[in-house]
Amino acid sequence: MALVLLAVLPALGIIYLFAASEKRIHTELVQKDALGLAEATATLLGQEVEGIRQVLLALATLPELSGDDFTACNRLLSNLLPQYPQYDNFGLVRADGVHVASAMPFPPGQSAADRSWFKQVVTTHDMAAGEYQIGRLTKKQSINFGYPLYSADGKLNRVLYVALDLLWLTSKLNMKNLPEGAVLTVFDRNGTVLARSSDPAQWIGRSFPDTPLVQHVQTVAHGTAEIQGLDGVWRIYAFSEAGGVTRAFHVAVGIPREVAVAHVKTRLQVDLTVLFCVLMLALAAAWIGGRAFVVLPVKELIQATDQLAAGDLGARVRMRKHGSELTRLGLAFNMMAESLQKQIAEREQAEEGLRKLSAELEQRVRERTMQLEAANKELEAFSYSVSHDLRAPLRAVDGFSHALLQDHEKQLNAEGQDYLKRIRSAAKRMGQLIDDMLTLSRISRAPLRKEPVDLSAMARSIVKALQESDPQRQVDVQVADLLHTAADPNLVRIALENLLGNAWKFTARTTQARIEFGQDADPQPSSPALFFIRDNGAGFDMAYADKLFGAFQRLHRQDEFPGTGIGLATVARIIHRHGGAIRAEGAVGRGATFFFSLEPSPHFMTDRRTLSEREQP
Amino acid sequence: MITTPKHILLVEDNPDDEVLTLRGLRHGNIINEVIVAHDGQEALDYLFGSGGRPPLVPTVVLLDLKLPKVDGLEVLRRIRTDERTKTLPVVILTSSMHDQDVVEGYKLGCNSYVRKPVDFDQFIEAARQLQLYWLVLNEIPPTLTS
Repeated sequence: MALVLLAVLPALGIIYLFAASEKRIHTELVQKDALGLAEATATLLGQEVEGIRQVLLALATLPELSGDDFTACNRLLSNLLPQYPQYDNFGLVRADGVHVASAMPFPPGQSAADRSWFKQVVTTHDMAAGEYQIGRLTKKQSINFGYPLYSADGKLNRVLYVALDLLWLTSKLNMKNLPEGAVLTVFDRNGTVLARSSDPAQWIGRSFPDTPLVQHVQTVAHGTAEIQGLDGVWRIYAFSEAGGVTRAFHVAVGIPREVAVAHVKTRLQVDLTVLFCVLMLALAAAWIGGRAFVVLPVKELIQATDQLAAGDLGARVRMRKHGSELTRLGLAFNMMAESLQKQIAEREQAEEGLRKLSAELEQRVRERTMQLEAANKELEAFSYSVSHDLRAPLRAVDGFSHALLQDHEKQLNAEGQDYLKRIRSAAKRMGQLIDDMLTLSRISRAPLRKEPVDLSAMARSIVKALQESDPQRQVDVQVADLLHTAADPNLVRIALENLLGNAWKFTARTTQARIEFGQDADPQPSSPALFFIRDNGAGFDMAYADKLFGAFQRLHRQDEFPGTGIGLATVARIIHRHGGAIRAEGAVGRGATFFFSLEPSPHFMTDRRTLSEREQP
Repeated sequence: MITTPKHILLVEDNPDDEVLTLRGLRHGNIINEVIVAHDGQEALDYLFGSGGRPPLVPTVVLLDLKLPKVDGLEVLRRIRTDERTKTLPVVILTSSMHDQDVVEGYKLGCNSYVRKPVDFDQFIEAARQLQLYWLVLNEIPPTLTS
């Protein structure tokens, strides 16, 4: 809308410029018109004065006027007067101004000596005009013209005069061609109105000596000026003097400014109206067009965008035939929505696939879990039956061997007794194996409950129990203070029991046996606490280090150091269940050191991996 | 209720274990009558009477878990739910070292859980201590003896 208004501004400027120029031109035209009218009127008046001269000249030749028979003279003049409706009277005065004859009856002794026409004629010896007057004899508004008459010796002896009727003059003037509002006024030399185009009765005879118009009339013989008229209206006035030598008339033709610019105004109004209509049409077109081509498409676009934002991916903009920017925008929007819909559809498809896959995976995990649970149950049943059913026969073997030895000792020789003892020993060992295996399997299944554990205190109590079970042993056991960790206390106790038990066992043949439990003083930064249990016992060959933590793996003969070979496997499993790691260092005859942590640590990775691999059955 | 002298009810289905247990109990030198029930049902019949025979209340029940017909834990449950035997001392004497069995046994109100060792020397020691504890040292509620 604003753009439309802006576009119309230059047209408005041109119209006004054009109007101003036209106004100037038109003012000049009006001046010309006024001057033409004034000149025409002046010519008319000049002709009238010339007519008067001719009449007076003709009369002057008549002998009656030169004679002294004033009665005959009166008769002649009064006979002549009706033939000239424009004249109010003919009269004759002597050189001293005293009336001697007249067409109209006159009182004796009346003088015209004070009249300007008389004075001028006497002075100039030529025809002269008077001023506005109301005839003394006729009582009519008129202006007198005087003409000199000479005696035989050439002396001026009489003055012939005629009174021109002003009403007739007014009617004679061509007032009809005047433009509307224009005023034609004829003044006498004193500035008294002699004739006027409008309301002559009201204006004739009135004198306006000091008005600007009269001043112009008296000073400007021929020209124009824009001044206030007698009625107060501003007009463009043209002035012209008329009447030849008599200079009897001063014509002023005034055309009002309004009339002068009326045409321009009308033109301007028409132009402006047209412009306004054009503007309105343009605005209407802009509004309708804007609605059709801008607002509606934009609304549609916004609506579609909202729909899209609300998740309606099928939202599209209606396409239009014309290729405006908005259409292209709509096209771009549609393409974007299309692409979005496609992408989302693809993503949903991918997600659907993923969901299916994950569902399948879950199903497989469930199945596998069920299988595992079934296997676990089987294993549990197996271990249950192992613990219950396998031990019972062993107990019977041992029990009855014992009974034999006790009740029938005398019937058995030394060899028989030795065999029974070996039977009992084997049964016990098998019982121990079963117990250890059950412990190992139980460790794998038992839930892990981590809590703060005082390893120092735990180790000391284990050592104390070892010492009590083997009171004759002299072992120097050093347990460091303040060894703490977070772990399952039951499992950690089993691990420590095994490790310390091993150290205890493998230092049995060492003089000055020594066992040390401590924490690595210089671990890697941010790595978990690394504990160690060191002994100066039998040690082991590092070549077999990878066999240490395997179940039923033994590096020593049973008669050297008894054992089931399950202890370290149990320890490793406990450590791993805590996420920790364990490794061993040692040499034959120089003791062994077991390092372990109970928390995950990157530095143990290699060892952990190899240990885990070793654990595989 | 008929007053009965101090005696032990041994519930044991394995004849070997029965012989060895009896032998172990004899080793303790505390002579008491031992009644043997060979399955759960027999134990219940003994405790609650059957076929016109009145119920008999032992001083202590040595109860194996893995039993034919009615298993040990069920026998224990029945003992504990019956008003007459509610306070009867029951010692589970079994080969099982299954955690679940131990927990379940105590939940049902056993007074002791003893695992039969493979080593007969240890077994004799266990039997001796059981006898000493339950038949000599332990005081039982008056309702059971009156």
